[in-house]
Amino acid sequence: MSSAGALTLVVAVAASWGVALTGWVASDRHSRDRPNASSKRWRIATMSLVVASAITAAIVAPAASVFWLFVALNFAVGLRENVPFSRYPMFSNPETKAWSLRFEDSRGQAVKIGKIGLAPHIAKKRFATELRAARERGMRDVADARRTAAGVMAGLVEQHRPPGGPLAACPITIVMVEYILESGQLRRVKIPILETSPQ
Amino acid sequence: MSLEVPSWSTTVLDVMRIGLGFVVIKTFSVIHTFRPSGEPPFPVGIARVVNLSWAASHSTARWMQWGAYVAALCYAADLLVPFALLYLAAATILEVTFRSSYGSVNHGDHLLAAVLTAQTAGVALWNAAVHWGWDLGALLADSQQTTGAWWAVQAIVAVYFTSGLSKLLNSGGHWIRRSPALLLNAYGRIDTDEMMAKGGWDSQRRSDALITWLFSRPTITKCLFAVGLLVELAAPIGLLGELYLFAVGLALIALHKGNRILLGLPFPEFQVLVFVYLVNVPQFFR
Repeated sequence: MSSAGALTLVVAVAASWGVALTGWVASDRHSRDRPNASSKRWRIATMSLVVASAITAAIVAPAASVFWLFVALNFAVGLRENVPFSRYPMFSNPETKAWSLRFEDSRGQAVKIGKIGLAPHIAKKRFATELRAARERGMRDVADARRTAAGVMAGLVEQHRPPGGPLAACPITIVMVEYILESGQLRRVKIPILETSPQ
Repeated sequence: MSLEVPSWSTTVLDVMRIGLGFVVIKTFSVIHTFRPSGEPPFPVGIARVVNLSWAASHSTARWMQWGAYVAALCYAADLLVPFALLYLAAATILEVTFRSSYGSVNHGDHLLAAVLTAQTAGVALWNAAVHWGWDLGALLADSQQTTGAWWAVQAIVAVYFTSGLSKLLNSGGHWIRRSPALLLNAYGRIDTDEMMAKGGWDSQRRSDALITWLFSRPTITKCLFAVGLLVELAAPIGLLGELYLFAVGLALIALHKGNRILLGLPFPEFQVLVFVYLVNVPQFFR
């Protein structure tokens, strides 16, 4: 039974390496920035196959069953982020466009929001979630969705704004910075979305 | 080729327990930093069924923190281990779920939650098997401690393998080919790091120069990211023996160091847990 456990691990590693290396040399025909319905269906089918294979491996290889059970649960239960299970999707689909969120003063200098209790990486993720929520509510216009999301961020900034010091009164502009890969060259575009001032 | 539970000595298991206790204390020592407040607007996990807004209060956080310190010390000292683990697993899941329910899922503490959940389940099952005389074969080791540690190792390896598989699934297998685009995120990270309270300008400038250099050399970039992905996908090989586990552990720490330089992602708790359970230096001093 213990050799069956080892076999399941070796096969899994070999198969995944095979897919990774084949995908490196094979042509990339699908549009990566706009996933279509068939690619979504393919992804769900593959994910179901991973879950089913992991459960089967957990049954045939009790020595590695905790590993296989965790893999199955990560893909089945972790799909919607149920701690401690997750699919760990960060950086899993590199795109030709990325963005960051900046908080700038009137001179265009970055405001140290870390000093007022807001972490830049958390702010970016929150903005992305608000943007997605706005789209799910039916907001089709990109600029409107960005303004709505930035409105929530402005609320957070005002909630954390200190009563004294240089940050107490200065207007803060929420800026989206896009990084676009075009013919191997980087293009950086700054899009000011909203300015917030203390009430 | 076979798969067997490693024969860790009592000293090795003690060091593992102390190491996990240290990671717990370190994690809970910063729970007041960037603490969200108000109703969780985007609940995840248990927050979908239980309102966790009470966890926003600083006094609740302080109680949870002190509870975690006491439980971590009990665990490290081998006292009331099943109860200490149960508290730590519940508190970590609660804390990570609470923080992730404000529109920003941060995976920095997921590995700790996975390790504690696996250990708690392993220890509970081992005690149940001893109490009721079950024979669960290779699923359990000969002691409560070894079972807990072995289950933790499997959970860690599963997390890395899942992360690697997600990259293959979400990119249709073309992750390595597309990986140079990840450098765009690196530029974004440099821009946002400026907004943190501390400077670190020298390291930022070094990262900026390296990323610019890599940007014009996509083949080298692909090779670098390919190594990272293949290491994640090879993590299960570590379960084949202690030396394999050691090699995989070192490779995973190197992967985190690389991610720190290229993408600004340090994930220090991940590195410490990998060091404690996979690299496991004391095993070589028997």
